[in-house]
Amino acid sequence: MAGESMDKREVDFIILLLKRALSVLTPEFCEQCGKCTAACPISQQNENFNPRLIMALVQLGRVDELLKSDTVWMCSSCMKCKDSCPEELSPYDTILLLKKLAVRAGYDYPEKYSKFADAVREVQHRLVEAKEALEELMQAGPSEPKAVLVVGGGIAGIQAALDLGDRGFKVHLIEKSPSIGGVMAQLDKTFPTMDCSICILAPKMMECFRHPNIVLHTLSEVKEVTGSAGAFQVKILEKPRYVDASKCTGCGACTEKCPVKVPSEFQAGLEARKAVYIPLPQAVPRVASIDSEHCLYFQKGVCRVCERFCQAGAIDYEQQEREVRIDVSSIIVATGFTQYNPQEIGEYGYKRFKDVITGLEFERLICASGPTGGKLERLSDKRVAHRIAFIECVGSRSQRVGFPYCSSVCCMYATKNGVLIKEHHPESEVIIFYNDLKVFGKGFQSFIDRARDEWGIKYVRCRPGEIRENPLTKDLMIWYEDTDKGEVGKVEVDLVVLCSTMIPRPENKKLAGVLGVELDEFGFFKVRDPILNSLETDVPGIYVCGSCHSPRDIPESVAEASAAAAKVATNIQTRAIGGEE
Amino acid sequence: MRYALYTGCTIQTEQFGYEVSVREVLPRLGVELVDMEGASCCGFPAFRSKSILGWLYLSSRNLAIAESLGFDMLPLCNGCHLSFIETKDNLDKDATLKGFITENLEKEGLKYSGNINVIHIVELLHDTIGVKKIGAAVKNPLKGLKLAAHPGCHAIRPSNLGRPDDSENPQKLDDLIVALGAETMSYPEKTDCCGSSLAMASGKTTLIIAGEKLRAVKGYGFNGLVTTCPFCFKVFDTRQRAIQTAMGDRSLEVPIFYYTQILGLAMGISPEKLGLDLNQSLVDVILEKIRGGDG
Repeated sequence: MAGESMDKREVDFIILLLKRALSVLTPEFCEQCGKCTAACPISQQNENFNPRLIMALVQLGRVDELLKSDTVWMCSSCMKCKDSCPEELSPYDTILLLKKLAVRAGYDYPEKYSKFADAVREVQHRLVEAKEALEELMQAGPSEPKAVLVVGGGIAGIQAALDLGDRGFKVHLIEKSPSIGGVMAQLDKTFPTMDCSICILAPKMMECFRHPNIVLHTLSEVKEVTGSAGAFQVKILEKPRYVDASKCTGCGACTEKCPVKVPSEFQAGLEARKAVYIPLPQAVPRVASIDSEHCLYFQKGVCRVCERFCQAGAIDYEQQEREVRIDVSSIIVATGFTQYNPQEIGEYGYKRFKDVITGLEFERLICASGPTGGKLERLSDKRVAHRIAFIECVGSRSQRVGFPYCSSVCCMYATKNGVLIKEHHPESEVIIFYNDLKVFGKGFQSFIDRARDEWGIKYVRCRPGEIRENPLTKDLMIWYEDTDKGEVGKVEVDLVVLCSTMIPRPENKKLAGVLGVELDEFGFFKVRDPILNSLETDVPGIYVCGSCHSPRDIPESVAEASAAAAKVATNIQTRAIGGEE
Repeated sequence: MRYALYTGCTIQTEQFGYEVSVREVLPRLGVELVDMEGASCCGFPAFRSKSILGWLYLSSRNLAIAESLGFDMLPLCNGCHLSFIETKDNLDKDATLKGFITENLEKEGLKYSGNINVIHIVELLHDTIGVKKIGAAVKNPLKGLKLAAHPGCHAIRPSNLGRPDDSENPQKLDDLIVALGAETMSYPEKTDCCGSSLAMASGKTTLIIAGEKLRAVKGYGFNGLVTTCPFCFKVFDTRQRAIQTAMGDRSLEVPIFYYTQILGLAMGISPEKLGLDLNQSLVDVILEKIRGGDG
């Protein structure tokens, strides 16, 4: 065959493979997180070989430096880097191509360097698409009742309900689970003030319960919504509690006698609850409910022990589902988030190693009302953990598995938890592996500074490559690259906390269908305009606040809840004025 | 069960023990092995750095030969297996490329349609034959032996290409070891590289990487290490003396086995028939132990 045509086709094919290898060269292209180097067996032995630096030099167009040096030949093709890159890049493929270039092109073929560089530059220069222009504000509708529906009883929903209730609007607050409180009730302390989370939340929960303008619907969901802004007709499905809330005194006798054990949602699965239960000590309403999916009576027609021991006679197996119809003028969605299950990031060994836990599990572990009473006993052997590592960006800022966005709270809560550990046991060692410290909130940076300088928490910039468990001691070994110094190291710890990202609730899809609003590509609620109308959906009269539309912390969720409430109030009031004219 | 047996270069030129044991063991488990006349190097890794098209061509011509036999292909080496899977993937994704390759294969009288499965030996043993059937074939359980599994990088990575086992927590080789009556356990260094691909660029680094792994394996109390990859075997077994020198530790002795060798032993086949006299690590210790248990 003609040598020349083969050459040309081969060159084209190399470029094709190169593009494939670097196919996700978006603006987020290689963040230099160092995970590849931390995973690389060669880097662990040889300080001159560093896949992260190879990627950096390719990024900078300094390919020839690589070709002149012998670094690209140090790769053992084990593909650990390829498998671990959160951005789905592949240092391995890049190195293969570099090798090829070095062999074929040598220094006598400078035009091939330029082809390589062109290919890199071309993809690097892709631009992000601009967002849509602003849309007109919603049209005012006819006169309407002054009631408002708030979906979700976490801190955002609670705050929105309280603000509206205080202004004299009637509020229906809907919560799917037996108690309001949400994720904030599960947290131990809050940053940056180290307030006890439930201590500042519980009064608000109680205020909601007692508020003359707020109607609580627990164990409920929105079934149907018709109408438009100013006049929505809503059908709410109230599921049976199988306990008469007006009779139950919350004494807990039923729970004590119930024979069925179920992993407790409130304790992040670290402890069991019963089939008839009060989800948390500060539950609102503080009454029991029966989980019919696990209750022996509902499943097998036997037992009925709770009924026998309830002195108030509150157990009622005959309760039925109830549909409630309400008319509201506006709807606020505050359904919050759930935590990403990091099991699919196999190299971190979540669920494989008992002492690799998520942020939420850690919150329960260090909380005085948690399964260990606040002692930091690790799950494998009940030994108190004194060497603890936090890994940031688990499932977030990742193209490979998980989600590409920043989870926004992990830098701060890891630091908060680090300080908590130091408060418990000042001799403990805490390392936080971060990608970038994104601490933008009020008082956040000084909190980090204090954690580092006063509490001695160690910050290392790197995504660790791998966690390994010593099968004999259960201690965990983390390989990492300190990317500030370019040094590869390993550290042995007792406990690893994965700062697993906040993700949209899976139920969002159904709710969005009912409400007729859109979700974004991840499943968060979409807002009309991310800058100037960041709390309203595409459907006039339906608002969002808190982490149901993207990850955010408690202060921001609370501020947004108040803002959404103010928006709703403004709309109702201007409409009322408009109606009088 | 009939498979086109692809032995590859390393096995044919130096890793005879692997081929011998495979040919001894698999037929007894109901597998008929058909030789591939005219087979060549799989192209990986030697050719790949020089010419990507050359690699794809060599690789696909072997696929075409197996295809003409009408059986699924069984490469014994991890690297060959990955090479074939990658080639298939590349040709499937790119019609132009496939056209170019088939055009040239035709000049050799070969036809590649892509209609062929490539099976890894671990997949064959674990998934197709099954742990149960292997357990039933054991006459001489390897009781009291604690063996470490070393799946090898190319059997588990890259995870997006459908490798025989999980990239972070491979268990199939472990299951196969347990089926023989031996003990095993997961250990942190299980998925570590043997370093062999580095031998040409930096032999010393290879020896240190392999040495660290052997040291760990010994530390956990394993009696030996089991693999299915000739490249890994070559480093751990053939180069074990050199590893000891590089690590400055003469006592770093770990007997190394191909899985098919210990499978044969458990089935009651004599060590000579399994090529165990070709292993250069101290396998005799283990053989005596097995024989001792026998009596």
